[in-house]
Amino acid sequence: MNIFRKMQGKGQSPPRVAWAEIMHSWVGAVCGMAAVGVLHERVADPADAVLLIGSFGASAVLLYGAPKSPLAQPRNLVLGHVLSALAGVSLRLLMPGPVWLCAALAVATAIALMHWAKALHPPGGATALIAVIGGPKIAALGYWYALVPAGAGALIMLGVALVANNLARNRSYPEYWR
Amino acid sequence: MPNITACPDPLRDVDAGDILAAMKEANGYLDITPADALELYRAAYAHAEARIRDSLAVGRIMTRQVVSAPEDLPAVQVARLLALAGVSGLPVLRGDGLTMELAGVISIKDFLIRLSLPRQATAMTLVAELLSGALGPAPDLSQAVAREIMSAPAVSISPEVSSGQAAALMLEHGINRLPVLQDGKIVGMVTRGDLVRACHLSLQENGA
Repeated sequence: MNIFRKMQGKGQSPPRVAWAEIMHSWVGAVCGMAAVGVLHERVADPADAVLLIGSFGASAVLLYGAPKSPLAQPRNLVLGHVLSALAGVSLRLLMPGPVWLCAALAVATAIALMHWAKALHPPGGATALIAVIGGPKIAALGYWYALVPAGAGALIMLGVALVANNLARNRSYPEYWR
Repeated sequence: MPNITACPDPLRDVDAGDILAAMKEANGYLDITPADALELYRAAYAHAEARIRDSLAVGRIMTRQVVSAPEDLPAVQVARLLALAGVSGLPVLRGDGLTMELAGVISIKDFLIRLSLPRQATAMTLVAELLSGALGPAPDLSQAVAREIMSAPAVSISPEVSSGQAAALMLEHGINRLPVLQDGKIVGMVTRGDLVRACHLSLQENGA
């Protein structure tokens, strides 16, 4: 019955953050996502490129919602997206097998790579997954996917995070660079 | 023996509620559960305790350059040696060269007792007796050697013991110095002065 007792949990949940904090997170996310979005619409899309992918929504949660988290630091953000993109593209190109298996291996490999690089960034898993199941437009990018959108988008989000998080009086970002 | 660790210590008694209160005060979302934060705090506290205990181990704070006397040194010369070295006590050693071992400790108290002063007499007792003219002629110690007037066996301590325990030992026995022995050989001497210095240094290191 030990397993059921474990399932009940035993700790307390962390407290809710202050209203000011909620507002800072909201403003930061608007700025970050708007920056990537507008560049996607005005620059990337007309050139048949992609800049806005779903995993950046997840990155926004960490960068603007939990900027102190080790998972949200610059190294994790940039390396996490680039390594995961490389894992995803590689598996799609190298593996002829079923998409479901390819997708699973891509995400798992991305996690392993990020762990190894000390750059775990949960949205990286989505970046790897999108490389496999993102459709023909993503597939056409080949390994460029790791630079644009993955690397470039992460850098834009990072730039916004550096400004938005440090303008807020009670915030500072990053905790560390390396 | 006085229990030095029994004093109330809020740092040691931090509980989940304190952690939760601290998390509320912290700005922004902390990516950790209160339980993990508490566990981390307790583990770090244990490390800090061990670090401070080690940095204040007797072996780190003791005096290494020990002035000592061979057991057959005449008492008068022992007294001169104490005066010259500016210390109030020193270890008496038996044997020679590599086989030298601790025979006892000799301090001003051992001399005061030989001057027929009461057991708890201090140097000031001697001064008072001297000034009031109550002191009789000095006893003849010309034939006495260190071995005969020293306190033995000496209370000793080993270098890895904490300075807190050294202090407790000094209090318990009412003494001011402890020979530090490693594998039966004397490696240093720890005095009340050393303990004061160590305490002062550790406060400085911690920015207090």
